[in-house]
Amino acid sequence: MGRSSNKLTRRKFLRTTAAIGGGAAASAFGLNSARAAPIELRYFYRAAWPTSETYANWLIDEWNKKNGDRVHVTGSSVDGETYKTKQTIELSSSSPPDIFYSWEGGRAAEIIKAGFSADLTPYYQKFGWDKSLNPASVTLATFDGKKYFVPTEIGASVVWYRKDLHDKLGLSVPTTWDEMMANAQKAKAAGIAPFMLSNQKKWPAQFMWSAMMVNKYGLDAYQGLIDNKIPWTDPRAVDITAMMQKLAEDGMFIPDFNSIDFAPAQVPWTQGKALYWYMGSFILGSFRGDQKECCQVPTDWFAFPAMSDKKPIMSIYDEDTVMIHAASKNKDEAAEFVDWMVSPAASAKKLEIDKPYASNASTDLSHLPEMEQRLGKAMADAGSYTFMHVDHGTPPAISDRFLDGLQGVLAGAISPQEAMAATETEAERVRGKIKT
Amino acid sequence: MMSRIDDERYSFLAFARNHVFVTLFGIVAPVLLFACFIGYPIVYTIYLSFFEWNGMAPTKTFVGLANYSYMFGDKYFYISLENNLKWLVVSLAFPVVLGFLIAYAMRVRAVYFPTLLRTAIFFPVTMSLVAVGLMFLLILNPIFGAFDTVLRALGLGFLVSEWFGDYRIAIYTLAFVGGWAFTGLPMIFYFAGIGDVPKETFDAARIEGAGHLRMMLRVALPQLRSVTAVVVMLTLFESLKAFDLIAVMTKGAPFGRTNVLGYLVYLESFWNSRFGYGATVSVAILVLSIAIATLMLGTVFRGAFDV
Repeated sequence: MGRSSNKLTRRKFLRTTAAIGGGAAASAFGLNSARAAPIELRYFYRAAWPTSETYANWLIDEWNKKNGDRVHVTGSSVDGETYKTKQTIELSSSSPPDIFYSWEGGRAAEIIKAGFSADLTPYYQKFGWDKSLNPASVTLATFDGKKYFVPTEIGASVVWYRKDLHDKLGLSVPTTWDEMMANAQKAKAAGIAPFMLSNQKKWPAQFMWSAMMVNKYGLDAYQGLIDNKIPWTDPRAVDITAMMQKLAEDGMFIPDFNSIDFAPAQVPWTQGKALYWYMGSFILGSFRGDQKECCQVPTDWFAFPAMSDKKPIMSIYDEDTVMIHAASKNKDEAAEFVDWMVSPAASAKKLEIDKPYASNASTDLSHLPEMEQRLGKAMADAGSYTFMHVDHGTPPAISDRFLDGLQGVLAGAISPQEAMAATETEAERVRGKIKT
Repeated sequence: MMSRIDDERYSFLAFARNHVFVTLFGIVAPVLLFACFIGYPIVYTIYLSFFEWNGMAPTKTFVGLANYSYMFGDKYFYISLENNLKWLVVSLAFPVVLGFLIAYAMRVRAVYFPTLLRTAIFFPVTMSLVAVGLMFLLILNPIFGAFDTVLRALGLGFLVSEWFGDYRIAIYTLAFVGGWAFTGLPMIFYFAGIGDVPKETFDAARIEGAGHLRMMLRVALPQLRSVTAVVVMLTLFESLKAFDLIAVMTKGAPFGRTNVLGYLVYLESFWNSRFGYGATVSVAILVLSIAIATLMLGTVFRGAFDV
């Protein structure tokens, strides 16, 4: 009697096992190729305001809903104060973020020099960002002819004023420095501080300083200081510092201005204790308060007035910008995500959730109050001829000494010459002596 | 003939052989942990102080003693050092003295509800200095701060000042806020210390007609030398490593007049991207701490820790 044909032999067992194993591997491979793991991108950002966090979460969630199976983005944020400390560590780490927030100007130059930022010029061409984004903001992203960051939020510094106080005092919107000072004198006589200044953390006073420098001596002179072509001890820089000192001595700023921080300053502003406030448009977030629309008190703005016969220049700057890490293995996908960040849809949502202004020039501003629409249009029409404030324009080491010096002058503790000399000493340490 | 050193080495080896567990976990492990987490950072900081490095570049540039040379001519370094010393003086004068007085008052039952008082005064020690800083920013705010309001209500409006904005007083404001948060610690040390002083000593002094002032100065304090040494050392190190309150409350403003060495290290390293110079200032803090501690233990508190 022969052996039964269905008997399990060693050969049959091995053959069957191999077939099952091969089939399982093949099906697993097929499954994997059909559902390949998505590319993972990490977005590291600075959440300076609570609304910034809300908006960033929305951006990421919406992207992942639409593209998460192909390119999945994970966000990690740090608050505004500590971002800079963490940024250095993150960027130098072995697994750096693909996309990260960076400041413009001096800090951006440091990041670029350290080789962390990818050249985004090809992506500007591919996605047409140089046409869709605000021209001034694109100019600021250009270093040695190449573009290294994409602005996502822009801002402008203007003189905010209390409309109700203006009306009460019978003032008209000034177009020259002298007219503004005449209004300031009337406000002072009425017991209202002409200018709000919340200088406890020393950065706000520089806004007025740089606007005065640009509008009195021209953009070239100011840019010469920022670009290390003119020393800070230049008589023009000293003169503007002395003008600021005179304003402080004449009681043009709100009392205790060196003790008042930016957020608490909203209280006297709301109480009508100051008439003007030269500040960036990011302040609109604070002016809105808990309300959906700006502002809690009647507020309007005008551009910093002319101080000479030259046309005044408005400061437009990149408030939020993103870079793509040079070491990212997925730069194309990262650029796609950045393109989503500056798309009209995302920009419109930014205005709704966060604060003005999106860098995309075609963003629909129609649902904003008329005053905010007007400012958005002024920014779009300003062209590319603009300036950054000192702490954005120069490396932090220089700006820190400058801010210290200016605060010291306003406190009456040091002279304008001493303040500018201290700034120049630090500037020489950073960039060496200027060759004349 | 075996030398004394060989003899000691032999003793240690013999000890290690006979007490393997104690040697491993009581000596070797702590030494390794110390070497990794304290020794190495110190050595690396000293090493870094001879370089120029922005924290981002892959290479560091050797600059020899240039950072030290710069530090000795740096106005900000001297302002920071001076502020640390001011902070130390305020801390010794305010929380340490106050802590001692409160502890004494509680021990002699000169206050009501001593347990409640002890808890209330010790509570700030458990708080984060960041929270303390934020709280005092509100309390001392010139616009709506409670402190100025209370002063005005008490008819002391002439005392109202720019607590953070006036460069002449800002560092003292910070030191007092730090002192408020620190008072509980010396208090609890002295409270325990006074409890160890024999009651008979106080009774004898009282019979001899000594008042509280004399008992504090002539009876309690001399017997609390080791406690005072510990408290002063803690205060010294707290003062030298002051950072949190400055970072939260002033960031060195007005115009750098509230910078202290600890904040200068942060500012130079992380803000100005000069890690080499930041490390140099860190080395200065280390040397200062060792020097002041050695000086104090060798003079005022000589023998305070002898058993």
